[in-house]
Amino acid sequence: MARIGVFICWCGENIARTVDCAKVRDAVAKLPGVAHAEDYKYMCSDPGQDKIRKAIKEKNLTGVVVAACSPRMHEPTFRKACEQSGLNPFLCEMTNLREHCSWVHEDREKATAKAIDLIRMMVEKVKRDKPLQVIKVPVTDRALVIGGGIAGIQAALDIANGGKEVILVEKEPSIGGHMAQLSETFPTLDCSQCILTPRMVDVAQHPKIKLMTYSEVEAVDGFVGNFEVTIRKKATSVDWKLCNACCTCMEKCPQKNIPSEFDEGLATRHAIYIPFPQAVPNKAVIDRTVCTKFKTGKCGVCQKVCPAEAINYEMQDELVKEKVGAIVVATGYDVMPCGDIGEYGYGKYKDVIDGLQFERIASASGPTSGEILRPSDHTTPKSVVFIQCVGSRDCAKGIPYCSKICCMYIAKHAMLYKHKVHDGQAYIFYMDVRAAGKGYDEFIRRAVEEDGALYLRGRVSRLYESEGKLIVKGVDTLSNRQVEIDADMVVLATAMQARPHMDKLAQILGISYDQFNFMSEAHPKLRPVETSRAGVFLAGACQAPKDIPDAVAQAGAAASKVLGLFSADELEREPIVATVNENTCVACLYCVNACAYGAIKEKEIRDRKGNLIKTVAEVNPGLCQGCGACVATCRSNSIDLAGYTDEEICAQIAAI
Amino acid sequence: MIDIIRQKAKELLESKKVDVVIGYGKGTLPNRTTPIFITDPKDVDKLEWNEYCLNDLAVYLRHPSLKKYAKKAIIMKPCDVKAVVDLLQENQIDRENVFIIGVACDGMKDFESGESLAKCLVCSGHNPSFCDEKIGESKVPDLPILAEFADIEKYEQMTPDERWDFWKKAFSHCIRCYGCRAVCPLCYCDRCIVEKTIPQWISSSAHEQGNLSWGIFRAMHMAGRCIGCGECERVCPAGIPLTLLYKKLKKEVLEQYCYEPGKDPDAEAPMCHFTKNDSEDFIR
Amino acid sequence: MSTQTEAKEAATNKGTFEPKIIAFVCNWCTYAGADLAGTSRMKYLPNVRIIKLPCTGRIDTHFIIKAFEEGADGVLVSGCHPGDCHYTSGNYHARRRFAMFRELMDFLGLEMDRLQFSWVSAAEGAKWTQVVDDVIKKVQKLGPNKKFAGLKHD
Repeated sequence: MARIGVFICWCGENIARTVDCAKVRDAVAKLPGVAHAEDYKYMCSDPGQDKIRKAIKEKNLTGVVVAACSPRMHEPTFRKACEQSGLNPFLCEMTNLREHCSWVHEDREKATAKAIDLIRMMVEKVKRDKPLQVIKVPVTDRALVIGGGIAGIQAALDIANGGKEVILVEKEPSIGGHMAQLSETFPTLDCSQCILTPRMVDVAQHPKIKLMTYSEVEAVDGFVGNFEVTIRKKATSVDWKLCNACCTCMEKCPQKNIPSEFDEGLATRHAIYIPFPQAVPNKAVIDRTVCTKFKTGKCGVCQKVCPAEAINYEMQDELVKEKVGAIVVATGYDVMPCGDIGEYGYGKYKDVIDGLQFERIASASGPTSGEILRPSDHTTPKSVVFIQCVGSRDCAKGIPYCSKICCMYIAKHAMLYKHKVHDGQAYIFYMDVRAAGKGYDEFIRRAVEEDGALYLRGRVSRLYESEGKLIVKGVDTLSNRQVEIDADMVVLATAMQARPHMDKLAQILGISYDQFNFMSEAHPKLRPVETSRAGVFLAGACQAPKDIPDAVAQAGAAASKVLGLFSADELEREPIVATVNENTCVACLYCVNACAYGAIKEKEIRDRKGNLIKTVAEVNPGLCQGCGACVATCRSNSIDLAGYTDEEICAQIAAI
Repeated sequence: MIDIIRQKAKELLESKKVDVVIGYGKGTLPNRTTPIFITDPKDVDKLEWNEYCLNDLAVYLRHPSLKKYAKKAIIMKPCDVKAVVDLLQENQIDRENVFIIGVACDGMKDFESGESLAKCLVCSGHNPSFCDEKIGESKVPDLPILAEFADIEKYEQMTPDERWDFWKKAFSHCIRCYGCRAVCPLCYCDRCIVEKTIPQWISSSAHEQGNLSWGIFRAMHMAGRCIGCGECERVCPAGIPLTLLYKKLKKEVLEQYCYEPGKDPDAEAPMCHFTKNDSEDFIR
Repeated sequence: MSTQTEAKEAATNKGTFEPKIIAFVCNWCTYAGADLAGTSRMKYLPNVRIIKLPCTGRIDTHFIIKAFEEGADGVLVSGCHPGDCHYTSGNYHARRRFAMFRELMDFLGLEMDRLQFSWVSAAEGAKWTQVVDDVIKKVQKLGPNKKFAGLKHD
């Protein structure tokens, strides 16, 4: 005999303002099988949960429906409360009266009627719910970190220092990411490489970290605690066990005008190259797309001159399979190519550059050895215009978000410029100045007060070249005047965007991503490092634009989640798995094809003498992920999914 | 041709290559044939072959009453062989345990009227291809497969209201005898979904709603599998144009997924496979 | 005709017909997208009742038929975009199933505006509101589902 308890939450005013909770309570109390109905202001609070616990004991409830916010919010909370009172947690379900009702409708009468309908449907489902027990699976306590920038490096170090093995996969030949390209970092003006390279070396030398650079993740199978990842180790054409970075190959390589990616096109490299002097691993790699030997079969000079005999043109990509229990995605960001923004002349005028290019110019190890020089004629610019929000906050160009770091790094650029060109003048066109971090506003003030940066609140409408100067036409809205500046160099603060093909990586990992290809976190406020797939975590700018302190913090958070996952030998999995009714199954095996996880196999049922009685399908509950695709494919209705059984759904539909 | 068939049957039984030969025998009324199961080589003369061999004998390959015969030989028209291909695809029979005697067919006729069956007028394969032994040769030209779908057009051009009225009326005559299910080689589920009561998806009562529901379910279960033997419609006492419904889905499966049931036992069944580019113009 | 249908007929004549739409949605994409519409306080018409499933792959055509038999005037099925399924391929299997089911229902004469499908991701709160409003308005124009309601069932 069903005895269902219904608990209606006001959620303060969030639900009660639109839904008449008292009326709902009275209506559902009359539903057949409902033994208890009550409403309360905050069901998720301690006194609220107490009401549930009390009612379960006093009224001998066989099931609970909590009509409140989204189950994605508090289902675990209420299930735990029920468990504490001795009711199987899977006999507790939630009805969404907030996100799907009170927050999206205005008509009180209709919203209340909808609330009653939704609760009635859920009551019918819960009457048929069965008590379920969690499934325990073993955990592989090794982690995979994808991306070797500062976030990936920090996450790898934190996990490894926590005593667990880590595989760090990076697609470039060296780790370091964009941080390795920066000259100094805000708000301390620390030399970027000085704070980064020790960590890079730590990663390379750490006994628990296996570093795989020039490699990419190709496939991910399995589930939390038990992933099997296929990694493609791209052919470097150089045996890294033998290469000792003597650089003889680079000196002799005839292909020498390849634009250097590390120097953002402001300098060149060879076809065989080490990306930058502090690269980790410090080993050479051949770019087969531009190498003469690979394009025409001729040359081969590097192999002839290499004293370590490390060059191997026959090397092939290698596919490696690794078993890991958790994955951290830390693939970082790219800057938006600003060729689309015609008014700023990027690509047309050599002296219009973007933020990362300015970093390379300012960097002591960059193409100009740290001197601020114009790319066109290598003279010192006496006036530099910095333009903020290039691409960002611009719905017309499709990037409506703020890239978060530009206000700070433009101020930094203005300061670095002034420190090196004492008689130079920096002009900064801005819409707002966002400097919300610790010490950030003070940093901006230093740029203005100590280094004389002139902030102009307005946008640039046009930029053109005239007699060797870049004429920048803009407006200063605070003084209500049009402004025209004869600049020697222009630096664009371009929008921060996701790396290319992140949608493909997200699909490989089975996680959600948004329309800008940033990876989606499980909950924007309360679960910033988890994703929609258990066991896959996020760190750094791949999730959203952020600066180094935030990236490092997030990496630490992801590492702590990973270490938490590894803290037990066994993982508890939700028992939402399929089972086959062996009496009625006729082994057509359609379900085997429907299963994406290989969880269903053919099974022979034999008598004691070994004679075959029948063949059926069988589900491995350890592999089953609970999607139910097999259930809908079965014609004889011989397979069902716990938690979403045919009976439960049928009752829910019948109650509309 | 019948002599060759009888001779082959005798051979198979005498050599113990098979335990039973499933074929057509003489019926009790004029022109009628009936399925027979020959186990004794002396009885092979009971086998018949003429233009009234209508039944799709494939339904007996998985029949519980013939389970005791491990190895079976079966006399098949080229259209019926497709059912065997489907059964192989769905793991219902072992290839080594079935000996298919494929007999060339010039077309079958209705018992009473003596007229050609509608399906034979649009037949795309008069000669057997997938079989262990080929007997005879038909000179009747094969029509392209699209000829099968010519009669659907008339219905596709009706308005939705006209179509609803047509099908509602057609299914209102159903008496839920389940003859369509009994005679179909591909309806082999030991417990049919209509017999499930917890929950009851399809009402077992013979009212309009239950009948239409049964009609929809069966059509969905036949999608990508129905080989068009037409037996369901032939045996239906209520004269419901079932093949029209199943052919519509056969046409869609062919057009959208380039799949024809009953051709290749190793092919991937369309309703439990997919491609990344399946059509989705109906999904916003 | 049942009292429920009579009431709906009367309402249609008065121009106040409020259709009942059942939405079968997947937990990871569309349900989350609908949640996002809620947290963003977007507004849409209140005629939809959501039934949550783990994946569109779980959505059987039985559910849709049953929904119509139980009085739904329209059914909406929504899940993850192809390639984004939380369970990798559930929505691909569902896509084929729905394609065939839709052809069948069209052939039987059900108005196609009553049976709609969409891909709504967890980030598409706005799309959810548009889809829901659109389905409700289309079904409102068609009126109550007399076809299924008119089938004798006792």
